[in-house]
Amino acid sequence: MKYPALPIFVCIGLLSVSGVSAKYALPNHLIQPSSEGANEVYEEKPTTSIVGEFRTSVASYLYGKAHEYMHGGVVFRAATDTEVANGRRTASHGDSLEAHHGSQETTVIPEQEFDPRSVWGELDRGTQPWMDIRQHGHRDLSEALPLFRMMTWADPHFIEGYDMGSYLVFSSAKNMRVDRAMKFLEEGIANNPESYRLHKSYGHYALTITKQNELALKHLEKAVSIIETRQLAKRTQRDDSMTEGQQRVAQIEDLEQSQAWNEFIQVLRKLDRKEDAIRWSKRCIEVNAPCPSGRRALEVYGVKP
Amino acid sequence: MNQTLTVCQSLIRTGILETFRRKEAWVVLCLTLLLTFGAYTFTFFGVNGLDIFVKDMALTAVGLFTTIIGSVIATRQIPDDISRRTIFPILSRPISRDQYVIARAIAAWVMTALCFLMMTTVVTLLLAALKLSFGIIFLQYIWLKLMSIMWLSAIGVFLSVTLSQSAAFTLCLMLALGSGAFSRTLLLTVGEGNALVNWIITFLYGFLPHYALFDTTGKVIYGWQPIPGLVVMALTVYAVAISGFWLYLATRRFRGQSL
Amino acid sequence: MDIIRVENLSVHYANGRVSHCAVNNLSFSVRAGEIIGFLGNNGAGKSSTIKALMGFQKPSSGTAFLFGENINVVASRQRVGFLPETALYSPYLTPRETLRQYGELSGLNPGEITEVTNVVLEKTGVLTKADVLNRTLSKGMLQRVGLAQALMNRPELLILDEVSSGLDPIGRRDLRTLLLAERERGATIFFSSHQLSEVESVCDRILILNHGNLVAERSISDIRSTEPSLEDYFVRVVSDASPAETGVSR
Repeated sequence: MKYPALPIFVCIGLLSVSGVSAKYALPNHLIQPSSEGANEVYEEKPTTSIVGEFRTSVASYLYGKAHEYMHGGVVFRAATDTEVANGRRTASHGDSLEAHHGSQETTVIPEQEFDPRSVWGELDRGTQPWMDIRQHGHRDLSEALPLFRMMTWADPHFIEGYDMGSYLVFSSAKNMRVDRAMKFLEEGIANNPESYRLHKSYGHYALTITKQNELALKHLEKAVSIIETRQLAKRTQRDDSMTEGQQRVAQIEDLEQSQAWNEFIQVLRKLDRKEDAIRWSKRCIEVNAPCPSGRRALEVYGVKP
Repeated sequence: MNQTLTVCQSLIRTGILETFRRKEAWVVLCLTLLLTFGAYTFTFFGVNGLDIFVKDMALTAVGLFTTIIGSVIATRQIPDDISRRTIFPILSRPISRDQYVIARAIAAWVMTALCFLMMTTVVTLLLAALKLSFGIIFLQYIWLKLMSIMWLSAIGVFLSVTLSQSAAFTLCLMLALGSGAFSRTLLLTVGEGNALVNWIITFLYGFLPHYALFDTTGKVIYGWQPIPGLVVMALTVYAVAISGFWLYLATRRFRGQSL
Repeated sequence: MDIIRVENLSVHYANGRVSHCAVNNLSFSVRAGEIIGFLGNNGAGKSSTIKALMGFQKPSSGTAFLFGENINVVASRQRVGFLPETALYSPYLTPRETLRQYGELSGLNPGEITEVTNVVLEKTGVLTKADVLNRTLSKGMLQRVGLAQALMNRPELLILDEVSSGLDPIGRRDLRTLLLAERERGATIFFSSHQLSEVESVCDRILILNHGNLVAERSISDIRSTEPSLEDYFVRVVSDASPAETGVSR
């Protein structure tokens, strides 16, 4: 062979081209799964739902599996804009599913009226787990709990695992075991003391379920303190240079931070700490424009924003 | 026909002896058991309710290893005969090339099916010992898996007479394991283009390998109701037809080859 | 009757744009009961001729008949026993299992297979190794296994390619005995070999191929009476013949 090293350089060149191309073709795959909201972005992109099942960690893989478990093996994906425009039914159409499905989710296997495959479609619906999104149902959510246990063992820094897992522990048990949910969060906080999300969730349970206001204050204050110290509000700022996926992550993070702020201000009011409530309300409005709890607090206390 | 059956019988018997003496079947069996039991061991650490997870791991392992071993067996039948020159004493008998190709494909199917049934039986027994079981749909799972192995063997044999052995194995495995992703991705694009593009895509969809259609692992592990009989029958007919098509191509290709 | 009849057989191999002629317009016949030695240098076209006879290689022109049937017909191989050049039988089977397989492929019933297997294993000297895996056998023993499978269906025609390859002196002596015994049984034998001493001791007639052309066709008795030795005759014929020569020397 005249140029024996040529194939090596060709391979390196092709790898480089494919790597660069992937960045543009599949920008959402480059979002680290452990970042706040990244897993939710996975569920909102049709191609990612199908092709992006090669998750970058065991924990992330198990997280995707949990979604499948809850739906008896039925695989969901985001609906494309064309499908929505053509009237394809999605999970956001009522049935009180929006809470965990977000918007515009549908099944990978389409309904008969949207399926161009005729007999292949019937065979697909016959052999694979499938449900008509209009008769959406869930299996016992507790079946997915072992996965959350395993994903947090596999990666103790997998925030989503602790956050969503605690919610499932709380909501799946017949008698709403909030104590177990909070215990799970305590483990998460021990492994991730600087996660504002886990502090926020813990404070939420303490505030709204167990009515332990002092405990709620401790964790919600910690959550807001982390947001402030690490200037995390900057992560919610969106600009034109961001990809669609990055903007969506920022939007989700915005919601999480807003909840932390709002519940923090609520607990300050409940504990009648007026000066702190006013000070933090003003700061909340500054960094988190809507801040309904902050505006309400200032209104109650007769202070201008 | 009788002679074809005789040839099949002979090649199947020696093929089974070879497959088990090569120890491949034992290796995949051990791996399957390790994965299944490994999934169960989380119970020892206080994780309860692992029924679905253990079944999932078990059937995923069985399915994956069956596909791999099926691709290996199917794509090495004829190339091994050619490289060892044992094809000469075989074809020196009054056996046509077509009979030989068909017999080799059937032998590959039977050998892979045996490996699959062995893994399934042992896994079922292990799960039973762990107090886990499958529903009646499991029998349909076995039947459809055997049909899919038929397809895999036929296309593996065709690829082996068309490409080199390693290329044939790689392509066979890719077609089998990637068929689900191919189909889903193609389905996603339908509706995004104009009517002509949609029609072309729908037409092309029929030619894709539909290996994933035969895999009912999802329904089995979540305990769904049995699959409609008409669906099972349709898939059986499809498996026989598509296997026959690939075997026909294989015999045509092999007829003209110099040995 | 001619057991083998070859008429103007040519075999070409395509190598990119170049076509290589391995066998050029070959014609010969073999009568019932003869032992024919098929000789030639490496690359002379012996194996290509044999492959064409057995249907493994399609001739580019000409034709051939076995027992009066065209070689394209599967039934022409019904009464043939074939030994390929250096076959490696399945390493995971024993000689007994290998012979059983070929017996079944020949259409023998289980009873016949058992009976014949023991006979041919003994004839070929493999009986003591009948139940060990083929991969533990030496090249010479595998050659004996190959010979055994060729004898399974009690063939009327034996076509043996490089029959003495890998055999030790005792093996070659046993081979000579075997070939003569088969001829006594009524078989016709057509074999290629580089061991001229074997050829001289068992054959009735020899055919010499050179660069794809038949350059000599003579009886052994004739050669013995006119030539110093078969080896001298072979060397002379092969050296004298040019690639373009198509005539047959007597």
